[in-house]
Amino acid sequence: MGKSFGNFIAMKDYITYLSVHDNSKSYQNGFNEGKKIAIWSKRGKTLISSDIFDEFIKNVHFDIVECPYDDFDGSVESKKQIRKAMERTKSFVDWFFGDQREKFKNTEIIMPLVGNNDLENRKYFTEHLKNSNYKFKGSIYHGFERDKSSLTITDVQKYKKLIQIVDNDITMDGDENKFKIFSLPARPDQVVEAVELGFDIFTGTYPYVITKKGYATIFEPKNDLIKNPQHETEDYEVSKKRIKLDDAESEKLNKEDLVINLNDKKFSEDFGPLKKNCTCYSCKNFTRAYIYHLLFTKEISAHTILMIHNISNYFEFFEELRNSIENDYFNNFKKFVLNQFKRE
Amino acid sequence: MKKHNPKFKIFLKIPSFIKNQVMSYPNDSLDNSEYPMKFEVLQKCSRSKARLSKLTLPHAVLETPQFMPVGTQGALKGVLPSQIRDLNCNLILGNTYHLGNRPGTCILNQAGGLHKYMNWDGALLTDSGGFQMVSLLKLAKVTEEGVSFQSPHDDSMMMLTPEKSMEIQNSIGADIIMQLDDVVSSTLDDQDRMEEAMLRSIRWLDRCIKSHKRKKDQNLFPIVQGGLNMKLREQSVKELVKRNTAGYAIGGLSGGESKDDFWRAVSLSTDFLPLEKPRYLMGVGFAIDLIVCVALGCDFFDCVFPTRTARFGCALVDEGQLNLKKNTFSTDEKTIDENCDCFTCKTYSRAFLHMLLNSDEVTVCQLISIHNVAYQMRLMRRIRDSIRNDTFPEFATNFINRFYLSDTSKKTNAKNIPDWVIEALKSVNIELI
Repeated sequence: MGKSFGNFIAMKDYITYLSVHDNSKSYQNGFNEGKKIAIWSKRGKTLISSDIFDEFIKNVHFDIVECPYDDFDGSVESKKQIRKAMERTKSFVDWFFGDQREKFKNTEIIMPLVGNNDLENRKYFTEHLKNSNYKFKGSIYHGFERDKSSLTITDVQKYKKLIQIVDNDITMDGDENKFKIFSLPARPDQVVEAVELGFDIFTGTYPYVITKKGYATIFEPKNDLIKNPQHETEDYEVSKKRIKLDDAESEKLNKEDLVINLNDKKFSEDFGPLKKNCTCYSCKNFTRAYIYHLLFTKEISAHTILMIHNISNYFEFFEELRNSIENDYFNNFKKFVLNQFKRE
Repeated sequence: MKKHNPKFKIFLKIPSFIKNQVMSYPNDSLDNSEYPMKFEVLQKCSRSKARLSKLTLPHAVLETPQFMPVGTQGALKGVLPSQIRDLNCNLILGNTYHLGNRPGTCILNQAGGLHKYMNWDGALLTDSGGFQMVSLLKLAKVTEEGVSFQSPHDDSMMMLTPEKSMEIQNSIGADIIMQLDDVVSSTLDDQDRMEEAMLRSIRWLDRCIKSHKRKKDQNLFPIVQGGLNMKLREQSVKELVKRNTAGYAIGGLSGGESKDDFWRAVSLSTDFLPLEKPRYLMGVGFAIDLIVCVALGCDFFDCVFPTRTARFGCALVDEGQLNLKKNTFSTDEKTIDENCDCFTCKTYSRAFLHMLLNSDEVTVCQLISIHNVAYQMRLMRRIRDSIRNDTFPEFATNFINRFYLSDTSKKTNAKNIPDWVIEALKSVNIELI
């Protein structure tokens, strides 16, 4: 077994996960060659083949590793292109899940599910998995379209049918203990929609993507009223809580994503916390005015402070999400979250 | 006549912003003091001019010699206030010029002062703004009235007078504030100009004293000038001492002059400054300079060096600096400094920091800043402990020998110990060879 990555980054008590691409950045699609895929870094493009990747994970240990794949994070017209990407993915999958490869006991390799928006190609792929009888405990969906500026998925519902069909195909009889990973940054309302479609694990890059722009999230992660399963959350009841802002630009921003843009001069004299009633370190210690100042003067403390808040807000939401499922008020919770983000 | 500068939105109604500031300090021992400061020499080195003292300010009590990290724009390069505290640092510096521009006095007044604005409950020191102005701005011109300059925002002509500097510093609310001085480069040959600057600085000091509106909360320090002209410097000190302020700053140095001239000017200044008051030497932060100047009788220092060099991936150690960007560190599993117990050294290896320098600049800058500030704090603590035990000469000798005979200095072709270091310490009875 290789050297533990967890130890190297001083997080030995955490589960480590190796992803193929950095989904917090907008990277190029394509530029692949043969049985290799392109990955991107500061130095530019590097082509990765199965054996190069295998060598790496042999020497550096991660608990969970994404199998390399090829797909597109936008809609693709050409079925031929999607087919090519799917075939390339197949060659990686055959290498990592085939019998001839010695499996690592302590590393779980995640099955990529590719095929973009094309059901036919998706089915080719799952057929191959079934026929090859590959064993895997976790899968990850790729090929969903995402918004170029916010980097989040554009529309979860668009893929609902596709996900349900593919899920069905890859579930072996009685084997419910497979987990599904959602690979794109997602707003809380999108997370809830994805949870309804059976997703279990989400990438945590949404808070980071928000922070990089100088934004802070101000959605409400919980509400005590809805915990009572008997309580009927009216469709528009809690939308009264939404923050009203003066200008059309922020109203738009607010309605869509429930974030505030701390680069905006109007915060320079706002001595309140990022989010009222938030109990995170940033909201207990710093004001919007000060954070505006830090961003304006390009001080890196701004990012630290925003990141702490955005992560706290997001994780508080996830905790409440789990509570709602466990304690049987998920439907109320779902409405509560979707109402906040609803576009009028 | 008062010019209303659109950028420096000064409130002329003084009482309101004074009310905004917190008036109850943790140190009510200052209630009966002549100034909002107490300075007590605890121990003197039996050979050199070094001394161990206790400095009490409205927002902090600390021992000197001590080093002040610089939080230029109201933040310490990625290190949060509670992290600064964790590093056992309770006195930092803020720049009046930068803060006067952004966020400006209007917002600082609304916030109740810089302490509240940045959520720092330790002590603060602000400079006058003069130095930055002269060094950063085009068309900065000094007249008897003040420093006139072109606003960096809208090109209009503006003026920083001693009165205005006091107003801004009163607004910021630091525990120690600096007079506005006529800053002249120490390498300037023109002795007439040097003398003019020195004398003007005294006149400006008197104007500052007169217009300082918060004498009960903030200590105004004059700045000894005179460049490298010993006569002028002596004259400057003698005049300043007549003004009976809480402490003194030694300025006009650390500007490119030869080290040989530098140490003599520092030593002369401390020779004539009163023993029972603190001496703040501006712009000094390298380990060797700190040790020498402590030996020459200085009590506290400031410098951007530790936090600035962190941004470039350089970590401070006794032997000098480690440039963690170098490939030799890519597999180095040691921590930066085995003797350091800061968060960075307790958690991460050099190899990890090297990797981060290539990917996450924000985090690595923060981590190295934390270490560098911790290093400075630990260095000063070692200096203080050695004075406490009257082993300062031995500490200085060992440190300096190690520094100049280490691998790092060999690689940069540094000689053995420079003459100026030897002579400076010799002048205070410390023999290095």
